[in-house]
Amino acid sequence: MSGARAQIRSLVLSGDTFDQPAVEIRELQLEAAREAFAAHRERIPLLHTRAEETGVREVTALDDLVPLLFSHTSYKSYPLSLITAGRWDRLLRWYTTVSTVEPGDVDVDGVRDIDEWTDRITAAGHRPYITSGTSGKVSFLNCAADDLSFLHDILEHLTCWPDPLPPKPTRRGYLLAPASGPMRSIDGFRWHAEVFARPGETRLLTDDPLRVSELMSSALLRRRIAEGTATPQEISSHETASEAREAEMDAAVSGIVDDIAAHRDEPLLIAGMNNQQFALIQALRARGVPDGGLHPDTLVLSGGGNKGRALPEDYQQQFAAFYDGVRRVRSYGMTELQGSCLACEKGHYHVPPWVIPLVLDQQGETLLNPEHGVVEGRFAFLDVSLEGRWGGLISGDRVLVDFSPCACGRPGPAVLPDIQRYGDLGGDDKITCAATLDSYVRGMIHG
Amino acid sequence: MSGTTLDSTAAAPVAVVHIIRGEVDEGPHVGHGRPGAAFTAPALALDRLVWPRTEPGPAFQTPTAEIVDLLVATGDALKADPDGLLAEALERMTAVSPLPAEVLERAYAVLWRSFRRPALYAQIDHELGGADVLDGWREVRLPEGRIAATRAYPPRLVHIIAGNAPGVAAMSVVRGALTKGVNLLKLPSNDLFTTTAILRTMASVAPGHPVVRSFSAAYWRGGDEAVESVLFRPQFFDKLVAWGGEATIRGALRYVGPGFELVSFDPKTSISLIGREAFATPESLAEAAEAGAADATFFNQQACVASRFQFVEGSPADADRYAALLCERLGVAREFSSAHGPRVASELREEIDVLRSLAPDYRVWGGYDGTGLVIRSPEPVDFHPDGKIVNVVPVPALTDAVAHAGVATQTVGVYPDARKAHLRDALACAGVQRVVSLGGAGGMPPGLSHDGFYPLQRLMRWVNDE
Repeated sequence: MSGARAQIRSLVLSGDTFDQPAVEIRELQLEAAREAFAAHRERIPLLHTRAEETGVREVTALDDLVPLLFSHTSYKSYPLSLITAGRWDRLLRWYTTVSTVEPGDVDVDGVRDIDEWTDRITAAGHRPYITSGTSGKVSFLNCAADDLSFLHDILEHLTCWPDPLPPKPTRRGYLLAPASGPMRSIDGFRWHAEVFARPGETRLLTDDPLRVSELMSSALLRRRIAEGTATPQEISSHETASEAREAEMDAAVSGIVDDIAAHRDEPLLIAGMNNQQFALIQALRARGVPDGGLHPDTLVLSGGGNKGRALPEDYQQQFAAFYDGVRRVRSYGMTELQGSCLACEKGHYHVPPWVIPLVLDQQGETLLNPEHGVVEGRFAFLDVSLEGRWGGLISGDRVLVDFSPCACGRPGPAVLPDIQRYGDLGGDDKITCAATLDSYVRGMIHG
Repeated sequence: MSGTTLDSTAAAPVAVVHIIRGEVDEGPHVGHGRPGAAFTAPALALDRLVWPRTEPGPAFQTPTAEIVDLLVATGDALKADPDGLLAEALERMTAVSPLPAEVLERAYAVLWRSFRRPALYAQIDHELGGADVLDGWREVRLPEGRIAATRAYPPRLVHIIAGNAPGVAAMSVVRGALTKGVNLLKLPSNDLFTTTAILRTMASVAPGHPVVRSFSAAYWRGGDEAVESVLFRPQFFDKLVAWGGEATIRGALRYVGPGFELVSFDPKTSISLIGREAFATPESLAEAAEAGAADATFFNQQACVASRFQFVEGSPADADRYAALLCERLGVAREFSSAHGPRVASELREEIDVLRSLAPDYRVWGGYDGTGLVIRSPEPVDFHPDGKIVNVVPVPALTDAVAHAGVATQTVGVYPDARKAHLRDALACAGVQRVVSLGGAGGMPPGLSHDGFYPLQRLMRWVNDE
C-alpha cells in the first residue's frame, strides 16, 4: 500500500492520530478513497459489478461513494446450501467475489467442515472474521495480513486514547472468550493480553477454540425447521446443548470470579463481550467485590452491543459503576471497520482518520454530510485502510455525527453518544398478508 | 430527522378519517407516524369504540335479505362513486402505499365486485348452509329422535386488517356485515383510507341503517398497549380477526384467552409447479410463462397469493428457457400489476449480484429497475424474493417440489391443470391450502375456504337450543 492510504495508515503511529486539521484530512481521505476504489474495483468482483451497474467510474466527491457501499448482507450472501452440502470450492468462489482473495490462493482439498474451510483461508495469509446475527447465518469479513498488523498497531498505540496506555506487560489477564477463533474480538483480546498482560498469566473462559460450525448450528437448524425436516428431538437436543453450554460458561465464569477476587489489588486485564462482562460483574458483586474495588491500573475491554436486548437497559451504567476508577476502552465501532471511533474526554466518539464517515438518510440513499454542525442519519463509512475487502459499508445504526470541532478541542467529526439501531426504533405498523418463512420458526434458540 | 435534512415536501400531514358507529368522527386530531409519513387522526375515545354487551348490536335482528340489498347498493355506489369518496381515498392512498398509482386505481375500480349479490349468497350458502341460520333457528335432527335448534348468532369482532391490497378492506366489510355483528376495524398504516371510504359510501346509501351503525374504523399504532390491552377483552369483543403481520399476530396472542379468540389469516407465501408438459411446444411454454408471470406479479408481488418460487420439471437448460420467457412476461402491465414495480431493494440487489458471479450454478435474467427479475438456482435461494422477483428451480419431478411446500405455503399454482389431481393430496399434507391452475392465484372466489377454513362460519357464534 502506498500513496494517500499509506499516509493515513501511518497516522496511527504519529501520536496525534485524532488531531489532524479537518480540511487537510478531508482532502487526503478523498484521495485515499480514489485509490481504494481503483485498487479494489479490479480485485473484488462484487465491487466491479456495482461500479458497472451504477456507472461510477471514479471517485471525485464523497457522493460518488454512496452507490458503491455494501450492506452487511453482502458478507453473508452465500447460499447456505454450499455449507450443508460441503461445496467448499464453491463457497471459496463466493468468498472471492466479496474479498481480495483469489481462487488460486486457497487450497480447499479435503476440507471437512466450515471450521477447516476458514482455517485454510487463514493459512493462505488472510483472515475471515465472522460476525453472527440473530438469524444465525454468519458473515465472513476478509482481512489481509496487512489489515491484521494494522489492527495490532492500533491497539498498541491507541488503547485508552486520549490517554494511551503504555504497551507494557504488567497485568494479570482474564479473557472471557474461547482460546482462539476467527473473530475479531477474540484476536483483539488475545493481542491485548500479549501487549498488556504478563506472559503466561492470562486465564481463558475455555481452552477450546470457537467453532464456526457451532455458531452456524442455529442457522442450519432454523432452516431445517422451516423446511419441516427437523424432528422434535433435534430441536430439543439443540436447546439442551445451548443450555449446557451456558451452564459451562457460568461455571467457567465462577472460576474466574474467584481468581479476580483473590487478585483484585493487582493490576488486571479483563476482556469480554458485554454479555459475559455483565455476568462477571453480577458474580463479582455477589462475591462481595464492591463497585470501584479494582486496582486503578486495571484495563477493561468490552463490546458487542446488546444483541437481542438480552441485557438490561442500564447495562452501560452498571459497567461504569462497577469499573469506576480503572482504565476502560470506550468506543463505538463494529467488526466491519478497523479500530473504532474512540471516546474523548467529553464522551464523543472521534472517527479515526482512515474512516470516512458517510451519514445517509434512513433509506441509505442520500448523503447528508454537512460542512459543519450535527447531522442525524444512518451511519455508513468507507474505511480506506482495508486491504482484504472493500471498506465501504452501510450500517444499521442511527447516529448523530458532529462535523464541527469537538468540545474537547480537537477537530471533528465525532459520533455523539446517542446511538440506536434502526431495528430497535420500531418499524411502522404496515401490515401485509405476505410472509417470509421466518414467521413460522419460533423461538430461536438462544439467538 | 434533524433540521438540516428535512425534506421540502413537509406539507401539512394528511388527515385520516375515523368512523364511529357509522358516523365520521369530528373530534380533535392528534399526530401519528414519522417524518415524511406523518398523518393526523381523531383522538380515540375508547368508550365509543365498543358496543356494550348489555344490549344487542344494531343489526342483530336485521334480515339477511335486507343486508344483502344494502351491500349490493353499496357496491353500485362504489362503482359510480357519486360523492368522490373513493377518488379522494385513492389520491391519499398513493402517498402511503408501496403500490403504484395505476395498480391502486385498477384495484379501486373493482372494489364493488365484492358486493355483488351472487358473491354474497355464495358465502352465505357455502359457508353457513343458507341464510335461515343467520335469520333464525335452524332445526337439527339428532340421533335417537332428538330435535334441537341452532343459530349462527352475530358476533362482536375487532379486525386488524392488512393494507397490502385494498380488496382486504372490502372483504372485511362484507364479512362483517353478513355476520350482522358489530365490527371495529383497525386501520393499518399502509392503507389508512380504503376502509373508511367504503364505510362512508355505505352510510351515504342508507344513512343511519343498523348495519352502518355496526361499524367503526379507527387508527391506533399496532401493538399500542394503551389501546389494545383495554379493548381486547371478552367483555367487549368475542373475536380478534387478524390478517398477516407476524408482529400483529404475536402481539394479539397476549390478549387471547377464555372468551376472546383469535381468527387469524396468517401471513403466507406462495409457489408454482410447472410440469414438463410446458415444453411440448413453443406455444405451451409461452402459455406457462405467461400464467407464471401473472401469478408472480399479483399486486406487484405484495400479496400472499403471489408466487415467489417456481419449480420447473426438467433440466437446468429447460428451467433456463422457462426463466427467460418468464422474465419477459414479468414486465407486462396487468389488471393488478404495473409494468414497472418497485426498484429492487439494495440488500436483495447485493445477494443477487453475488449469485450472478456464481454462474453457471446460478443464472439471473432481468435487472434491478423493477420490471422483473428471475434467478435460476439449483435449490431455493435463502432470501425472500420480493417486488417482482421469481426464483426458478429445476426439479426432476413435480413430486420432488412438494418438499418445498410447507405450513407457510398458501397457494400453489400448477401447470398444466391435469397435474393438479395427482399433486393436491401431497400438497395438502405438506400444509398447503390452495391448489390452483397456474395463472389463477390472484383473487379468491367467494364461498370457498380461506387459509384452510370457512371465515364466515368461524366468525359466527354458534348457539344451540337443545
